[in-house]
Amino acid sequence: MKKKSLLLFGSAAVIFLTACKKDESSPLIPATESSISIKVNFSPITPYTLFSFKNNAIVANTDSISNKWDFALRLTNFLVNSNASGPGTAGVIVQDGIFDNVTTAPATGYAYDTTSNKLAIKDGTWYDYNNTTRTFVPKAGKVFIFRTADNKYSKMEILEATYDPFTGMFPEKINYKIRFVYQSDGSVNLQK
Amino acid sequence: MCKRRLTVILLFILSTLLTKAQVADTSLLKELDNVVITATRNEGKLGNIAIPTQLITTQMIKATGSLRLQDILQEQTGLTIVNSPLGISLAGFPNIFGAGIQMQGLDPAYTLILMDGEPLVGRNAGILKLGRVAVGNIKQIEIVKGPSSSLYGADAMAGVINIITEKPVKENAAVQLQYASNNTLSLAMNYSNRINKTGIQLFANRYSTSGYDLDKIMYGKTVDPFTDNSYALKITQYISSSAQFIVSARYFGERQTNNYLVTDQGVQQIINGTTREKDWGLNLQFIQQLKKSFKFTSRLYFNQYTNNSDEHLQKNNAPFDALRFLQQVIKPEIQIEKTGNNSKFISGIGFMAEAIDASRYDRKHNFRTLYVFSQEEWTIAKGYNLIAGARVDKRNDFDWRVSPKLALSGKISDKFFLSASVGLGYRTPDARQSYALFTNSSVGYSLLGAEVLKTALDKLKQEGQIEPSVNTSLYENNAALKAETSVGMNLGLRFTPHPNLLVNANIFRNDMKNLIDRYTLPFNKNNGQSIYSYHNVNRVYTQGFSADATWNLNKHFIVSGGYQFLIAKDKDVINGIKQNRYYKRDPVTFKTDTVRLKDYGGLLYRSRNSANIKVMYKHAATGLSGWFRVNYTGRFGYIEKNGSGILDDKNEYESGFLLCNLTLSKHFTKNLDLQTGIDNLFNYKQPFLMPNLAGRIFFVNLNMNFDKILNVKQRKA
Repeated sequence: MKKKSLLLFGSAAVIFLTACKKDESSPLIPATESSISIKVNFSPITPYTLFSFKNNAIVANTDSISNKWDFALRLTNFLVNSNASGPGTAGVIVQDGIFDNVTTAPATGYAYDTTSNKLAIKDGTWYDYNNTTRTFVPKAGKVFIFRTADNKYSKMEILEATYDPFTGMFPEKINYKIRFVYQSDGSVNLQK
Repeated sequence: MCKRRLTVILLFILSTLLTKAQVADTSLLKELDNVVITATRNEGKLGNIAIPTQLITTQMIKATGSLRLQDILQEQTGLTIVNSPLGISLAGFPNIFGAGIQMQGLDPAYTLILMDGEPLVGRNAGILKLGRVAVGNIKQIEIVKGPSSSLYGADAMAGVINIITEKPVKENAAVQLQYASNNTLSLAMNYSNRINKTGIQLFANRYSTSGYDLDKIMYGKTVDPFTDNSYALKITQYISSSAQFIVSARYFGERQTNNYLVTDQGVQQIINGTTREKDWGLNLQFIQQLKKSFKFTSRLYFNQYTNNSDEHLQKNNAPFDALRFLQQVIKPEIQIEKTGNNSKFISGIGFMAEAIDASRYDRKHNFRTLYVFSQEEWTIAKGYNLIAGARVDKRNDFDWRVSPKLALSGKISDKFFLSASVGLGYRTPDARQSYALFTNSSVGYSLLGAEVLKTALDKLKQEGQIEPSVNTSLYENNAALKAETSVGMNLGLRFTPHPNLLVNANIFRNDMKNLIDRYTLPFNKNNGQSIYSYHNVNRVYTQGFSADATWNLNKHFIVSGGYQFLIAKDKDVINGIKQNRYYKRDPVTFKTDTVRLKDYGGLLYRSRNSANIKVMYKHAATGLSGWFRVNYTGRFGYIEKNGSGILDDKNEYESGFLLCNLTLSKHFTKNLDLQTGIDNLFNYKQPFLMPNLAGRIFFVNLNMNFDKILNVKQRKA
């Protein structure tokens, strides 16, 4: 089973690489697609988890007053690195649609963390809380188009939210599986 | 090939049975002569009613041997027991809201439940606990489908269930003793007598059970042990040959011992507690037959329901939680009935004063409703009837509401009876939706009723629980909740091809708007938790058909079957799907796509198909009888999994299930019957979605019945 998925991954990588080569001649630099699972705290009184699209990695909380992170997440609360939340220029547009069909990022219209209570991403808008399972189901068709902390563009969708196994009434960690396409050249082109 | 052979065999069986049918001892057509009252508010024969009505007689109740109203109703075509989705938890927590009746695809909150024609109050999140009604003194249960607000006002959007208790006719004493699984013990006693102009009916029932536990891993039981005490007293007094006074009083009390586990500030704690429910009612009626054609009835009804719980930490007995709930209603009413040659006219005026108070509401509330209703029933031609009626309600905090109804029926031939009805129904927002003022102590979210939203938000701001910069004004001038409304249509056909075969079919459609739904405010409290309130949003429809057939095979067997097909959908969701506004995510590839209309399964907790088959066997010579009932509930949606927010994926359904119940009775002497049976024969359990199903239950009933005990001689009047 493992071998099979490795093989699949390998062939996907080959296709991906060849696709890259073909596009080299065009003036548009293709964006890169990644997916990652981010572990965040459930309790609303614990630290946020910071994330950088550029590095496709979690950023240490000691770097919270820097441009190193783009968004932060805790429970279902999002911060973007701007104004009230950080020194960056990060903003976001949450748009309904199919992720793959979003090929360019808008030039304007981004929402920022203006104040600590007027945040760019409103809680409760991008997931359904399920009373029956006591879980969060990210809404399908929610495309988060980011302007990053250092003025690059990215689009993201949340694929899954699962809990770490827990005892007692409340979970401790939520794992968010996300997929994003990052454009490193500063252009609004989000085509792969 | 195999199919054809099966058809031939079936045809053969059918033909033999049909020839045997000639010898059945009683005609089913007699059933149609039973007198019902709920659909028109005056007495009429079941067979002549233009409004879909189902009747459960005391004989049927006794034949099941069941003491639970829920089980009896569940066996009726088109009635489904549903658990409150608010309380369902796949984590296994007991459902505190309980289960109620879904009728024509509408939630339990939309079916009015009456006791001797008067509404029972005290609902928890829209659900009236059916366990409050003892079964032992019920004469009949009438189920009227379709909006009935034209006679009963608010809440009768889906229909009405009227539980009618026995009236004293002659001297009779009965004792019923039941022992069943889960240490369930019930002792019921009935005494009735009629001496000259005075009748008396006494009923007492003590019912106790240890409850049951469907999930052994989870601490605590699914249903905690409880003891019920029910008493009823009815006195009928003829003042003259044309005037009668009826007093009925009833009391129900339940004491439940609670024991469960919570996580309080990160520490697991065992909680002990007691929940006490009390329901008592008083119903006074004065009936005067002023002329042969003119009847005057005055009524005064009172009902009070309380539900109080006190919970303590087991380790040090420190108070953990205390909940109070009180609802009262007092309702004077007068009604006139005028019978002409080809018409029946009824009209009435009444006033209803209600008080409701609960620890989770802002304060005690009083509502006053004044109402007037009128209805005329004409015989427009021989066998053809027309009913036109309307009711006007004015509640102090709501606009006038007019609820009309029109029904037409016709006996097309000896074998066909057609009926059609259309009516408006409505439901005023309940106190929780308007006045909830509740903050969850362990999580910290707040639930605020629509009417108290402004003051509650202002207060949260003042207390620093919401940032001053948050603009709450958009939610402070929200229009008050409007009543939910429905238009319902029913088209019925009765077919009696043979005195021993009775077929009923009904097509229905209900269009509802302004359904009240909970929503999340777009800003949070400073603790990061959400604020919820209620608003009118949904427009939904339910439609389908139901069919019932009863067949008196021969003097030993009666076979019956029923089926309901149901579709219940949200119109706004349908529009949204058409406009490609709904997206779904593939659980394996995580690819997003738009939802297709054909995948939309409609509202949760609705089974498209439900059916029942019942076989009754009687052997008069030996006094043996048996009744085997199979109830099928088809698959139903219960969850959202693929990110679409709606039911549109096969993984979002729970599969259908069968409940089989068997009762065997032996009639020993005219004073003694013994019954034994098994409910849920195949031990179907679904701990999370259907905690109301206890699993397999064995029971034994001992029924004793005596006439003429005191043997008081009656004077000739």
